[in-house]
Amino acid sequence: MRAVAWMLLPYVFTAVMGCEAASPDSDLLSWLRIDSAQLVLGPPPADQGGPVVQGVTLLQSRVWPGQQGKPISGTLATSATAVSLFLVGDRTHYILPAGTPDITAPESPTFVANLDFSPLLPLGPHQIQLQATDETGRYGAITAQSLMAESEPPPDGVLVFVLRWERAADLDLHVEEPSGQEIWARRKSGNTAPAPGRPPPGPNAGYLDFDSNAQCVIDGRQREQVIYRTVAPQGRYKVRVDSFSLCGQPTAYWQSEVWRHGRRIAVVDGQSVPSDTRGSHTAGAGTLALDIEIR
Amino acid sequence: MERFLRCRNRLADGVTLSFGLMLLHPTLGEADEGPPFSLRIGGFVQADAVAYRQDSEDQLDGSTGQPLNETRFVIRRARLRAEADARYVGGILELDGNTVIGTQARLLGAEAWAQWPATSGQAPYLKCSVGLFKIPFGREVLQYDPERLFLERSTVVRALFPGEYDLGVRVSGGWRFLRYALAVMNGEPSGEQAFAARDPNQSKDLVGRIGIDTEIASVAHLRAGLSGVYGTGFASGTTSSKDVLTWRDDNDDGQVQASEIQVIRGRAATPSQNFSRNAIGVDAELTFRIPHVGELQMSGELLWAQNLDRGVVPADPIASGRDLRELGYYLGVTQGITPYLRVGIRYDYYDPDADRQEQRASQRVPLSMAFSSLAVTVAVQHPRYGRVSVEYNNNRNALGRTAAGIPTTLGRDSVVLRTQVSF
Repeated sequence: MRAVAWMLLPYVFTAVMGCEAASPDSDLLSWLRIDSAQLVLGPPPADQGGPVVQGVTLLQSRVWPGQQGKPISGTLATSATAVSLFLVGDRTHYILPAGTPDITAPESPTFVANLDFSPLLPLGPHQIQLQATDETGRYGAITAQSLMAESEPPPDGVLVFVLRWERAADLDLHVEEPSGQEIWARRKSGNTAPAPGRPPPGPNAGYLDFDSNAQCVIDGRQREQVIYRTVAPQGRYKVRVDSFSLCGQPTAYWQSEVWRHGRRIAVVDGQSVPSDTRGSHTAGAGTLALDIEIR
Repeated sequence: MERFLRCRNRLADGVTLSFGLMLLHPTLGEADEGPPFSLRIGGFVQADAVAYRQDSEDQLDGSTGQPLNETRFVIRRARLRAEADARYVGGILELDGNTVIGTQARLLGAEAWAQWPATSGQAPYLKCSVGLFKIPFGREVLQYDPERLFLERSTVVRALFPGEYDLGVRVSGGWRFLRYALAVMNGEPSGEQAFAARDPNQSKDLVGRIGIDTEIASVAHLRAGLSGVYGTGFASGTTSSKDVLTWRDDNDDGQVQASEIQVIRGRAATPSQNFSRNAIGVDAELTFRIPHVGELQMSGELLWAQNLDRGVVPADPIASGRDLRELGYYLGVTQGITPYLRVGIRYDYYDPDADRQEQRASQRVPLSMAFSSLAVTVAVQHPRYGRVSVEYNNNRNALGRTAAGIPTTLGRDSVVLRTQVSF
């Protein structure tokens, strides 16, 4: 028993000495993330008689999981030194120091932040609560703003082939049509490839909407789609996943789906490893993910 | 051959091979009683078990991709050192391996020297060295790692002299209780963040220390010194950039409007610039031999510097538009309790920018960016072969924010168990 007490002593010492420190936790496990703000575990306290938030500017209430850089700003009461932001239900809230007053209200400190949302943010209604704090750390009354988390709309088209992956790698979707013609990053349309910056081709042709993470220039989208908007040729389609480059990642897990009239009719998972990046990356390249008959 | 191989000794703290070079250089052999040539090979291993680290997390750093978890086993230092001594000339080669950022091996020190006279066990009047060696500044930089009870050097020393080793030429020596060292060095220590062990400018840093090393009434030993460094730092320029078209969704509607498209014109490269930097420091170490108990050692160091931080918050007065004044110190006490137990406590403080300010609402207020730590260490040791120590480190900084938005400590306390073996 005494030995156990000695073993626990450093932890007790640490807990006592380090208890007043700000949390060093990262925000990756939180739904809401704010750069340059202090993360505080748990929800903020209720109104403690602190200063109030005078105004909030949130341009759009709609958010989507994984969204980055959603602007929010506002003004605070004169005695405020910081503002707390909390997404109700989240594991953390944030403290953002107040900034300089605006020229139109020289007595009111301001704040500006960009909100990032976790890809794991649950869909549905949310509420973000703001509370000003003063130099003694007292929280003021809650000012709430409503948010609606919506998923990105399902692929729009009579037939859509989707490839999505979770790492910053350069994977390419190849779709071989019943005619044997292949749609991929170098031939983005089943008819003729549109010139750069030109609108997508006519309704009768399938086209690749985006070459994501091309040449390892990471865009974060990590999703490519071949879309047939109104008409899709009937017959057998082959879907291949070409691992152009893992961009330094050890592996990349991908998922390929087929959507028919807004309904998912097939899905397959896979994994790309460094050996998959060898060989050519032209038409016909890649791992066969799906071989499906469309009627 | 037997006469040539005069003696061959194996010491507990290393392997020494001594050769009878007196036959080849009889005049040199008359100058000293030591062996005419010796080769000593030794080293040590420091293996850490980080039992607790307050900022550890099972995630990756978003900007570097490196693990945030520090609660782990790690080889902090595994050193192999060879010293060749031919009385008037000699050399040192030191290799380091560690797993701090994955497994790595590197050249740590490589030094060739000549001295006069060829004394053994005491400082020569003059010793000239060239190569990669410890920067002759202060106390902790020059301290041999296994001798230090505390696991790491103080923050101010790690900031101003990261890695402790640099390339250059040095003259050093002593007379009676006086000691001196003066070196011309690249000014980019081996732990520097941008140009470690290289030198981006032609200017060299001048580093020196003058001090005393003496017994006091046979019960105490005093080492103290005054150190200084004067040199030239390097602020990197920027490379040229291309025109970029960007879109920023200012009104958050997901639609592209003409006002949200911005053209960022490419810019020509900017030249790199040099800047002046300097530091001065005083250090002292007083050791008492307390009968029947053990050694009591008190040590401290105080440093003032300008634009010299190369490790913790790298100083760049060109980018900041003003000189950055640094101040740091530490005070430590260790007590030996029998030869087999040693305890110590050390407080260290480092302010990387004494003139820092920040905006709080409508006011511009001074901001202390100081780092401080309190280390408490207990070690069970064998005086010659190694030790097992545990250290609690209470760190304070200004990297967090209170509910009022005021800077406060971001938790970084740690508990580390270290096993050290010397050979």
